[in-house]
Amino acid sequence: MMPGVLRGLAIVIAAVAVIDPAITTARNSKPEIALVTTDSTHSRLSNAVENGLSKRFTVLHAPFAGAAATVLIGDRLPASTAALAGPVFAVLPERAVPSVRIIGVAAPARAPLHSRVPITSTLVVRSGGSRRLDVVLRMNGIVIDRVQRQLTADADLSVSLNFVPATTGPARLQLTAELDGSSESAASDLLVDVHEQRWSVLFYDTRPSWSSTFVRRAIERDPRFVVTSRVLTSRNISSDAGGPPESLEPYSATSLHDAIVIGAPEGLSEPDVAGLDRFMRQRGGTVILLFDQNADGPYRRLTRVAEWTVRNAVTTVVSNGERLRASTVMWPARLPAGARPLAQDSLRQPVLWQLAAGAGRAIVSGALDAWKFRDPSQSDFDRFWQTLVAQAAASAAPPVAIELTHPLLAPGRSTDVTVTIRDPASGNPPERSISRVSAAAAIDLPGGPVAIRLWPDGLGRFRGSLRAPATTGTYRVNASSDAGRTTAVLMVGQAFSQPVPDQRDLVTALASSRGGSAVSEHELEQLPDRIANVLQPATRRETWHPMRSAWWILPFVLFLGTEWWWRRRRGLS
Amino acid sequence: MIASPDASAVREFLARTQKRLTWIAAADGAGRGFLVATVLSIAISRAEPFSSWILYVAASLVCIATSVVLVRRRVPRASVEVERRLPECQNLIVTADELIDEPGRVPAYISERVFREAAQLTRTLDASRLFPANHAVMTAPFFAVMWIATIGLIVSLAPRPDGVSSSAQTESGIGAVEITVTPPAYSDRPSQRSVNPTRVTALAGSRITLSARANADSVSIETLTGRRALASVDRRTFTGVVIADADGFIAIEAHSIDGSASGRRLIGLSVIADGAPQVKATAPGRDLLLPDPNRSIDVVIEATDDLALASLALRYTKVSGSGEQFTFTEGVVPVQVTKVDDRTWRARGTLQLAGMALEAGDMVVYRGAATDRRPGAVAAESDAYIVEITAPGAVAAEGFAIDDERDRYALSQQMVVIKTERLIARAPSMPADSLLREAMTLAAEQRSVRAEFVFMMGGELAEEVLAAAGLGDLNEEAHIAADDEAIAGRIANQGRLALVLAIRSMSRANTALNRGDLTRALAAEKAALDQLERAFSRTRYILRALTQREQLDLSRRLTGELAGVTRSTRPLSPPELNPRVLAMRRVLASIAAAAANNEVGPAARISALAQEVLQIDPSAAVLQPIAAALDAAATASSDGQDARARTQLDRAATLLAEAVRAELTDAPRTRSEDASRLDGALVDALNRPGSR
Repeated sequence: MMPGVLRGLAIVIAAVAVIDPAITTARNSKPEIALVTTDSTHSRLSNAVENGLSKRFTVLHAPFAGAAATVLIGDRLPASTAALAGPVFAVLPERAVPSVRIIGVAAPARAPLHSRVPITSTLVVRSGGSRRLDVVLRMNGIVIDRVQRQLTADADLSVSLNFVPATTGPARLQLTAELDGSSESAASDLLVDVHEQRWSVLFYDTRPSWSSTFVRRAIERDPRFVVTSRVLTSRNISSDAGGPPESLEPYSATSLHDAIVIGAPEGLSEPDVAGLDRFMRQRGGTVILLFDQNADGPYRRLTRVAEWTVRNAVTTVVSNGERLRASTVMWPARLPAGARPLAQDSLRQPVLWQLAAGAGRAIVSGALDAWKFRDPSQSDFDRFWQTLVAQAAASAAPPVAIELTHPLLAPGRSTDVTVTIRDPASGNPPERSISRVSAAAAIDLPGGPVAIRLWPDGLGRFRGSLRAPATTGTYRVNASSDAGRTTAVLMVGQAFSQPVPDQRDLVTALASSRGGSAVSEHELEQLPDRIANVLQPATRRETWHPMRSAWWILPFVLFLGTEWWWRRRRGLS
Repeated sequence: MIASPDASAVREFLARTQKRLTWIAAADGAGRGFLVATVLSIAISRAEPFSSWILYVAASLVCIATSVVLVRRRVPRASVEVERRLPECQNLIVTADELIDEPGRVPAYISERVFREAAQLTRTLDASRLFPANHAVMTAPFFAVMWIATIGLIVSLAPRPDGVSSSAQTESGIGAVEITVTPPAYSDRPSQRSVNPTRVTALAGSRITLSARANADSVSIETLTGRRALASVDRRTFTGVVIADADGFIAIEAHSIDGSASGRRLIGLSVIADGAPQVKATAPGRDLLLPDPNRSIDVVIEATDDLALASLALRYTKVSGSGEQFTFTEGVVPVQVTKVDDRTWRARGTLQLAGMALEAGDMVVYRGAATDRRPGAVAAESDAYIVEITAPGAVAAEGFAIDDERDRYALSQQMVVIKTERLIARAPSMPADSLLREAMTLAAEQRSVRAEFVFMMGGELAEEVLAAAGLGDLNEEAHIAADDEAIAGRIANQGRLALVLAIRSMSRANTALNRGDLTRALAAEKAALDQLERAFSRTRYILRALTQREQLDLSRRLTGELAGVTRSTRPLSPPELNPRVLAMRRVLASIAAAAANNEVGPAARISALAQEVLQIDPSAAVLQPIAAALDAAATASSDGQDARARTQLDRAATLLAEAVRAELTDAPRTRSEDASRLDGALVDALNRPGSR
């Protein structure tokens, strides 16, 4: 009997295998997790995260839309957050101690030759005790400025250094920060295009004014300005320098200047005020009103001030560390909405303030007799006004502007190019219609200029992409339109350092907003649980064929073999 | 030779002792030799700072050897020394020693006994105890160590370019540069010597003697005044002299035979001027107004000088007379000088006014005068003070500052008078028309003199005095008509009144001369002269006015015809760039270019930059460390020490950038136009009626 049973079981297995029945069931599956690393320096951390997750999840090293969750590794946001699927979890790397990191550098892309260029860096320092921080600015490898600070604790610092242009042309600078006791230093490369900038400034005095006269003389002494002036000394009589406009009314006359300084503003006529308003709104220019008395006039439309307060006492007005003294000062009884104080006196009254108007602004000076205190030992009269007027003139947009998102590139890397035509961008089309505005851009290569394709990107704005040449060097990128032409500098090199921004807060906020959370490196073991808590167990119906398993061969062989052995033992075979 | 065992024992003892004495003496001599060598090495280093270490060692070895030899020569015989140490031997050892040398002097039994007893004695003696070597063993090594340390210090501190080896000096062309600054003899200051200085400070007039060692065919020096060659003393030493007269630099350049520069050194030169003495009258130290001249006034003056004073005197000027008749008499008052030190003197003297024959209105101006020891120095004077003998009602003068052309106006009027008198004398022999022409010429001169006074009084006279007197239009008739007002006292100031009356008299004289009426003209001229004298004699109002009014530029008084008023247009003039900033910026650009591509650049180029920095402003303290750093970079570069050269270049560039930065203002920070436009829109929205 036994042999028959065993043989029957083997036959049943074979028969069922031939039938190959299919069975459908609901089963739990392993969630798929996308790992996104924002900085290649975090590869070690990325491996640790993968090891921690791989037991419970399927880990993939790229963002993909079908991921059950995304784990972001690093303290920077990725280039695009749109591709991050599911809840987002972040792993924030620990900061090494001691370490220093440059997270931002503020420096102008273009700078005038006759200026000192402030370069402000933002540093994150983990000193772990008392250490000396050395921040150095180099030009062509030569140290031109240095700041040393003794730190006693971790700090987020802002350090200002100054670059002094030696010649015109692109200047490659490098900012480095070293922490005593730390083997690694932070560095950031910069490119400043130094040019012989001369801003056009118009001084327009409705009557002879000491205040305006001495400010004008200070500006005339500064090689960064071309000063045109008109002082109305009597009816139809004026004292002119250069070729000032007959009137402030026509836009075509005022738009030639980057800034306009008005002496004795109470003498402005209504048409003058209308012209200045156009200059600010359409040209984006700055009008500086230099009062020397409290008097009413049509200028009120520009200042929006109905009542002034006058104080007679010698006081010091400070702006950007430069002092101005005056014995009579005037400020608005109520500062207009949106106005911003530029300099305050010792009573913290806004003696110098500005009010935006369109793309431009009006700057109002209530230091009525500051000209009396021009002695350098008493005040920084010349420097104060030179800095202020330069700031005003520089804020006026040029007719054509070009901007490279990344002026320092490795060969073959790309950067965005933006060309802006001022008038249409300001909603101020001159004669032609907006649709006729055109712009062109090209990069100067040794073999000749190569055009850059530009695409419209709003009124008067064009955008394109530029791939860096394969050969390292400095290249000029030119942009032109009917309004004029301009140029920018592109430097192509192999190893440019850039600031490494610290976006921990943003990364944490992103994780929270996407249903996840952020963990620090030392909390890494919590990550699988956190992910698992957020993810719903996914069950899916699966159709499976039990007879397709190779393991069936074992019972099949076992049954047949036992049956054969049994019969042989009994002598049946 | 005696062969007895006792004699041998004595001989061995004496030999052993003699040997010990000898080496103790040698060690002692070596110690002394090391001490002398140490002193000698220091002396050599002072006298010849460039000497090689071989010289020190050789000289020292000679000293040590000489000392050892000399000391060893004076080593006494062992037997004598033993007897000296042990008197209880009672000459037994000496006797035995002598018998060893001359055994035949005594019978054998005596010598045997002597030897036997001596041998017994020497067996009880220990040479090391008799003659301990502790002192010699201690002192010789001590002085040896001291000598070695001294040599080491001298060699390591030997003057040479910072961190530069001797071989490197040879390669660079210029080795050690010795500068001797010899101040002027009158300063009584000692000479100062320095080796390889980066900057030399010298009193003006000092002789700067340079001695440069160079591996070159010729060496030249360049200063602000030019370039010249140094004299060759031997094949490697070149000397020259520079007179310190102004801040600047001394650039030393070595040349090879083909004329190419093979090395360069830059030394900054700061010249300290010998300041003039500072003199002040401390007593009475103020003007005095005295009613009578029968007084004596004690005067104390003090003087200080930066180096040394040579003389201190109290001088006075007696001023007598009035108007055009001033008489000045100079004199010196004997003083008793107290010298606090060479630089501070105090003098006391007495002005004896009674002996000066002063009258009312006269004055004595006194001041201290001091000279320093500088040859040909002009005496420095203190502030002058006045002692004035006043008439009743007079006002004291505040000071005494006589205009150089004080007499011009008065003498001109005097000259008009003299010319008129001469013309009157010649009149009888002259034709009428010639006489009239000459008179009119004189009238022109008279008007010229009058104009001098009118314009001398400037606007004040025209607006206040002349208007009151009716002289605004220079109408002679009106002048005469205004006499009554002047006399009536409407013009209160007596000095001004006299001056106005003088001007009017000149107007009358002018009128008379134009008519040919010489007699009337002469009377008016003399009246004018008289009034001028009165004006001068009252106060020095006129004297002061001369100086001030002459500075008036009438072309700037904004007067003119109304019809001529028109728009004035001036062309734009480019601002003058600060040449100092331009020069510093040029050097900064050159440093950056020299350091481009991580290369320091040629030393000669960097050294030339250092010189260029000093040429910008040799006396600017801010530029001197920059030049020194550049020079150090050039030296390091020429010696192949690129790391050090780069460090010095960094330092120079940082300092230079800092100096340029101080002259410039900040570049403006730009803002995106979108942000500006957004700002403007916000302000418009906030200020729209009804928005708040």
